Amino acid sequence: MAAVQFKAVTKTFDTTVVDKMDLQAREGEFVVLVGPSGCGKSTSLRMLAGLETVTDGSIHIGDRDVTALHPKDRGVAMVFQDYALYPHLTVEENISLGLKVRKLDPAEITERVASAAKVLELEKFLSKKPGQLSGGQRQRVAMGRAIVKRPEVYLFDEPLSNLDAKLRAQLRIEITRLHRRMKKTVFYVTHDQVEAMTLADTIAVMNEGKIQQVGPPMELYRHPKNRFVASFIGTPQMNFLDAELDGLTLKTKIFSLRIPDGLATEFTDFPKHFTLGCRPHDISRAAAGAGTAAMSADMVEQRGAESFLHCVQDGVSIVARCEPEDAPSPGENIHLRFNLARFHYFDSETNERLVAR
Amino acid sequence: MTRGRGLLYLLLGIYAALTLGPFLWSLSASFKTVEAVSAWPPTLIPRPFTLENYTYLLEKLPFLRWMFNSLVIAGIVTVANVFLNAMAGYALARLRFPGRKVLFWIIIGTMMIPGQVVIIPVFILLSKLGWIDSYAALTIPFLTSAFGVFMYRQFFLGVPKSLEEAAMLDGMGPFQTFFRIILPLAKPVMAAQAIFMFLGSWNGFMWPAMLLSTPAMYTLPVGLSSFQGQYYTLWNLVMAGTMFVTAPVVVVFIIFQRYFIQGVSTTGIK
Ligand SMILES: Nc1ncnc2c1ncn2[C@@H]1O[C@H](COP(=O)(O)OP(=O)(O)OP(=O)(O)O)[C@@H](O)[C@H]1O
Ligand SMILES: [Mg+2]
Repeated sequence: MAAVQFKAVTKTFDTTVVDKMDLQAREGEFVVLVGPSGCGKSTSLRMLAGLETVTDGSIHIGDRDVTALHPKDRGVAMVFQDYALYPHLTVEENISLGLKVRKLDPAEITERVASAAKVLELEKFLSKKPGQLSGGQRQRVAMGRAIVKRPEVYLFDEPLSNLDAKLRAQLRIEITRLHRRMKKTVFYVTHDQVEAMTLADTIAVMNEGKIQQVGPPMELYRHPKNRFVASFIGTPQMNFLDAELDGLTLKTKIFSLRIPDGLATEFTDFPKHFTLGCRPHDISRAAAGAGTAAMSADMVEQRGAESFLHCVQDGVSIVARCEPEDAPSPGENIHLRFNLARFHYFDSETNERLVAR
Repeated sequence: MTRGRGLLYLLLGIYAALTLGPFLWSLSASFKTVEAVSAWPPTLIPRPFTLENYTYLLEKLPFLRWMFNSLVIAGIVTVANVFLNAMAGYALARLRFPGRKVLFWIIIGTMMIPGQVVIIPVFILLSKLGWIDSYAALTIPFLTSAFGVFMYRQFFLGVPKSLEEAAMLDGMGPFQTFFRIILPLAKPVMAAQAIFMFLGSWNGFMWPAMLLSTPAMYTLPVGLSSFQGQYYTLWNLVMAGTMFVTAPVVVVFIIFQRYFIQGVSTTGIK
């Protein structure tokens, strides 16, 4: 039985922003909804929380249909992007208010607040007001407010997007640790694919209100189902090239490669023209030779441990990875070798993946 | 920089003298005898110093009763405005109900009508209700104010929606959310309205003067005006009475000024 299930959920405001969404999460699974701005992630999460009505379809938590339930009766707790802490209450009051409203035994409340404060290292701040805390501390208070409710499902809507990069990385690790400890189902919304990759058991990529692909991070990385997922997951972005097959030769504007006999069967049903995808990490600098692309280095993006070359040739732009010590200077003419074994192929019309691997 | 400061202090000093001057003169006059009040040139220190004006007011006139009347009326009007305006403002800012835009514009519209225009219709209405010469006439029509509602509405529009959503997930209903989360955020607005409404009602003269005829029902300003003679005025008595009117206002301001100044200098939550 799924812990959370969206069944053909549709949401229409003026236009349809979530379209027949089907998604399920196992008990204890960490599901990340990722997609570009405005694709309907927050709306989906808010429907699960009960903050937004469902136009069509149904949402289930455990074996209950919660579609029409009030948020407080759904067994969910939510962490908001702007934290939504009550400014006039202390940290302790912020964390405990939900329990007081539910009229829990005061001893139980004290115990839950104390244990949450310990886990989140908030003990020193319990009597402070949110205005006196840093962004990271406020974020922890917001998490504390969720934890003490002991919910079935945790909901996060871009909880880290107001923090600086270092704090974000640190809190990502804390959230992972927390999840391992609580073993509860988590729905987490972000537009940051790095966050999605590092946190998720399962990623659901959304675009324009539709789920594009659902799967473990590495599956999405290795076998994106369509061009959108391929371009969205992985940084820098995958390179895309128009390609065609001439017998067993793969031709693009900047290079031609012979397909090894062992792989030939994969290409039997290919259309003549299609889109080829290749990640920067599967392209490297090489000496001039058969199958390489002669390009001009335009810019070098230094990342410390590795570098990315932005190259151009005949109106085609390619980003390739290289060792920092191998980085050419701008304007230099270089050769790139593409790793055919890691190519992705997409239909030029439908943008769907061509080889199901 | 220092010259700018000097100029600033000079201007502030002039302004303070202009506002404080009449007050100090009244205060001093209230301790003077009737001859000393009209003596020329006027003096600031009352000589001879007398408390007779105050004892006269308290013993010969129902001054404490008038003060009580004023306090009750201003108190009811203030408390009612602070809460009712807040509730109406919140409803207009956040609740979705049919006709809320129209209702809002009607409320705003009432602010455009000059007060003088409604004096006669309101008076006729109150007299038909049989409320003339009653507390009801001085409180019930003044329990809310369009401007107060507008002020709260604008404030509540600026409160992030996620706060209410968090409250909802915390299990609070609309009333709990309003009283536990939303209203405490509006403290500066509440304080500002408390001061305005209290002052307005406390100093109000026109309506009580028109509606009250029994001397025991008088509010302070009406009572005070009743012994401004037709041919001459006992300024020392009037000024002692004025001190009764002013003192509670000063107290209210001292209590609320912290919030009030906050309310004027900051508009939103942060
Ligand atoms: N209350 C609303 N009324 C009308 N349209 C809305 C409402 N809420 C959201 N939308 C629209 O629905 C679409 C999806 O919004 P949503 O907030 O779910 O996007 P998102 O994926 O969370 O984006 P972001 O990353 O920017 O937060 C947007 O086009 C938005 O304009
Ligand atoms: Mg969003």
